[in-house]
Amino acid sequence: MSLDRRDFLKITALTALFGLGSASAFKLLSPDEILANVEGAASGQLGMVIDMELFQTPTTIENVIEACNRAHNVPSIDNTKHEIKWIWTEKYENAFPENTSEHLSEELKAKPFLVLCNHCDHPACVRVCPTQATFKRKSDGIVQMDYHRCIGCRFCMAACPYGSRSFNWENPRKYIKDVNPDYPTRTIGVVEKCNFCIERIERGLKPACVDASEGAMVFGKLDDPDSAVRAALATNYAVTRKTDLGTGPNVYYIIGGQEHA
Amino acid sequence: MIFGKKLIIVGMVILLLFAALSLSCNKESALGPKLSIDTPAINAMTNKQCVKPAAYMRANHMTMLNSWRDTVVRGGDRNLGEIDGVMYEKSLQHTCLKCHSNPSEFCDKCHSYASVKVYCWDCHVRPKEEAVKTSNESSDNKINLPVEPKVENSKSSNESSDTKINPQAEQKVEDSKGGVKE
Amino acid sequence: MLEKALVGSKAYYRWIFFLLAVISVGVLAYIRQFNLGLGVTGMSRDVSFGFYIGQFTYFVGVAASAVMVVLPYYLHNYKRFGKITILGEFLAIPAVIMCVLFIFVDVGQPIRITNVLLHPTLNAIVFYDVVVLNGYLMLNLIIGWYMLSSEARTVAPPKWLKILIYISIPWAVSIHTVTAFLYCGLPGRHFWLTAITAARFLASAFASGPAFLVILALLVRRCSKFDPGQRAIDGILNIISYAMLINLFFIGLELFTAFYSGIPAEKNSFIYLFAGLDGYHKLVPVMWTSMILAFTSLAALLTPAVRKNENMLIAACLGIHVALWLDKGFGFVIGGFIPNPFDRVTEYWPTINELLVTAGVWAIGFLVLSILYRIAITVKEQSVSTDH
Repeated sequence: MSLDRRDFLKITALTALFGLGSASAFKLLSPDEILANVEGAASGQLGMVIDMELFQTPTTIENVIEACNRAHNVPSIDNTKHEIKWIWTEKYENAFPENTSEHLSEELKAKPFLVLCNHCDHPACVRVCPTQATFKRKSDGIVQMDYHRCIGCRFCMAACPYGSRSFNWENPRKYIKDVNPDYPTRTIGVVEKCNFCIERIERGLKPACVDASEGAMVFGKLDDPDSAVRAALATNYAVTRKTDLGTGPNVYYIIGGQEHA
Repeated sequence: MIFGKKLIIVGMVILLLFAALSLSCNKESALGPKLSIDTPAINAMTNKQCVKPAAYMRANHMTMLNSWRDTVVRGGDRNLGEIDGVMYEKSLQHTCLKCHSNPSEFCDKCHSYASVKVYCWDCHVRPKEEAVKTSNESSDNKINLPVEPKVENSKSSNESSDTKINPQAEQKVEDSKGGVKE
Repeated sequence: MLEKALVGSKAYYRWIFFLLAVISVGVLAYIRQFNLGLGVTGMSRDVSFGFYIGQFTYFVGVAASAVMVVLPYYLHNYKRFGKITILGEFLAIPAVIMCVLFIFVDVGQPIRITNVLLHPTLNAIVFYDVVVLNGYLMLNLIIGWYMLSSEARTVAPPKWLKILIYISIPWAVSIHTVTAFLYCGLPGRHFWLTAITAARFLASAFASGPAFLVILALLVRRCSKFDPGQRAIDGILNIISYAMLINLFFIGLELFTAFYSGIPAEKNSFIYLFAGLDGYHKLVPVMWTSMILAFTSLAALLTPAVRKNENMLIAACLGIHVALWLDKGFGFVIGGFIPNPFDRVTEYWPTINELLVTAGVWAIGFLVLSILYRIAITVKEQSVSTDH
C-alpha cells in the first residue's frame, strides 16, 4: 500500500482527533467521576440561620468576619474592584434589593447584614461550571470549590445571583499579612468563596463564623427536625435572599424587630 | 546559496559546543540530588517510615498526591488509615509537611534536579524552615531510610547528616514528570 | 495551495509585517497579563466579563454569518453568490479563531484550559460552545479548502463535500444560539435573561458579518483582478438591511417589555446604558454612538444613491459593523453586570493592556484572513484568466 504525505497527515490528524474524543467519552462515562461528586462525610443538607436580633454589638460582627478571614487566609485588598470576600456585611436594601421599600425603620436600614454563599439547593454556579471545579456535595449539600481544577473562566460569578464569588485578579499572597499555616491560600486566576468551613466540619467543629458569633448564628442539618437550625426556624419568621430565583438558598435570616412593631 | 556546506558545519560545531557546555555545567548534579530527612518530626520517630515505602514514594508521590487531592476535595474523605499505630490524614499540609518540614532540602532538591516545576506552593503554605535548621545537632541519630540499599550505604558513613539518594531514583522521577503538571 | 500565500505584492508584504508587529505587541501585553493576572484589565468583582468576552460574542456572530452566503448558494442554487461564497467561508475561519483566542486570553488559568475537555460537563453551556465552535472551524476549513482546491485543479468538488455543506448551515445557527445560551440562562441577570437573546444575536450577526464581507469584497475588487460580482454585493446588501431592521425591531421589543412592565430589574441595565444610573454613565456615549450609527447606516443602505456610490457604501457598511460591534461587543456584556446583585453600580472601562491584547487577537484574525484571501484570490484570478 502506498501512502503519500498528504494521506499520512490526514490519517494522523483524524486519529489524534478520535483519540482525544474517545478519551473524553471514557471520562464522561467512568463511574469514578460521578462517585467523586457524591461521596462525603456528613449527611443531609447543611444550612445556617443568622439571627439579626442577637447581634448585639458591631464588634461581634467584626469578629465573625475576622474569624473567617483568618481561618481561610482571605486576603484584605483595598481596591474594591479586586476584593476577595467570603463573608461580609451589606445593608438590608443591598442584601434584599427585591424586598426593600422606602419607609423601612431606621434601625433596619442601618443594620449590617452578614452575607455569604448560600450553598443553594440548585446552585447556578455549579450548573455553568465547565470543569466541575465547583460542585455540590450530595452528602451535605455544601457547594464546594476545587481550586486545583478551576480554569478561572468566571462563569460562576456571572451565574451567582448573590455576588458570593470573588476572583483572584492579583496574586493574593501579598495581601495576607499573617498567613495561617493550617489552611492553603489561593492562587492567581481562580475563583473562590465561602466553603461553609468544610475543613472544620469534617473534623467535627462548627464553622469559624458560627463559633465567633456568640450564638447569633446557628448551623446544622436542615433535614433533621431536631437540629438547632430547624428549632430556630420553627419559632421565628425567617427569610432567604432572592428566593424567587429558585436557587434554593440555605442561609436564613431572622430579621426580627417584631416586638417594636 | 545561503545554506552552504561550510555554514552547516559551523552550525553543527556550535551546537556540539553548546551541548558539551550544558553537560559540563551539570557536573555537580550528575551524582543525583542529596535529600535531607533531618527534621525534628522524623528524628523523633523510632521507625522512620513514610506512609508508603520510600521507593514507592519516590516513584509515585505525585499520583498519590493527586488522588488524595481528589478524594479529599471532591469526596470529603480525609482518612488515610492507620500506619504503625498512628492515624494519618490525607493532607499535604497536615501530613507530608508535618514530617518533611524542610521542603527546600527535600522537595526542591529533586524537583530542581529533574527540572519539574510544581505549583503546590502557589496555594499551600511552606513551613517556616529556620526553626528546623536549629535542631541540626540531633542529626547524630542514625537516619534509617528503610529501602534502597545505596541509601543504607551512605547511612553507614555517620558523619553526614544528609541522606543521599542515589541516581537510581532519577529515572523514576523523570518518568513521572507528567503526573505533576496539570 | 498554501504556497500561494507567499506570493504577493509589496503592499501585501507590508501589510503582513504590520500585522506581525501588532501581534508581537499583543503577545507582550498578554505575557504581562499572564504574569500579573487579569487585574491588569478593567474587569472587577462586579463586572467579571469585559472586552474579551464582548469581542468573543461579536465574532461568533461574524463567523455564523457565513451562512448568509452559503445557504442561498448551496441550498437554493442562488448563482449570484457563486463567487463570493468562498470569501464568506474564509471570513468565518479567522472569526472562529479569534473567538477561541478571546476565550483563551480571558481565563485566569490558561494552562488548565484543557480541563474543559478532560472533565466534560454536559450541564455547562461552555462545553457545548467549545464543541460547536471547533466543529464549525473544522467544517469551514474543510469546505473552503476543498472547494478552492477543486477550482484550482478545474475539477468538480468531491460529492461528500455537499453533506458537510448541508451540516454547516444549521451548525452556523447553532454556534450563535449556544453563545446566546451562555447569557440567557443565568438567574438574576435580568438584562440577559430573555428568550429573545439568541434571536437578537442572530439578527445582529446577519447584519454585521455580511457588512464586513461587503467591505472585504469591495476591497478585493479594487486590489485584484477577482470581482465577486456587483449582483452578489447587492444581494448581500438586501440581507444586511433586513437583518438590521429585524435587529432594531428586537431591541424595540426588549425596550417595550422592560419599560411598560416597569419592573426595575428589567429596566435598570437599559437605563444605565442609555441614560446612566445612580450618577454613573460611562457607557452612555458608546450606546448612543451605536444607536445613531445603526439608524443612519441603515437609512443609507436603503437609499439607492448610496448603493451606487462605492465609497458611501463602504462607509455605510462600516457604520453597521461599528454600531453592532459597540452594541454587542461592549454594551450587551457590560450592561448585564450593571447593576450588580447588590443593586449597586460598578463601572467598567478597558485598560490599555486589555486593548493591546485585543488588538493582538484582531491582528491574528486579520493575518489568517489575509493569507486565506490571498490564496482564494490567486486561485480565482487564475480561473478568471482561463475563462477568457
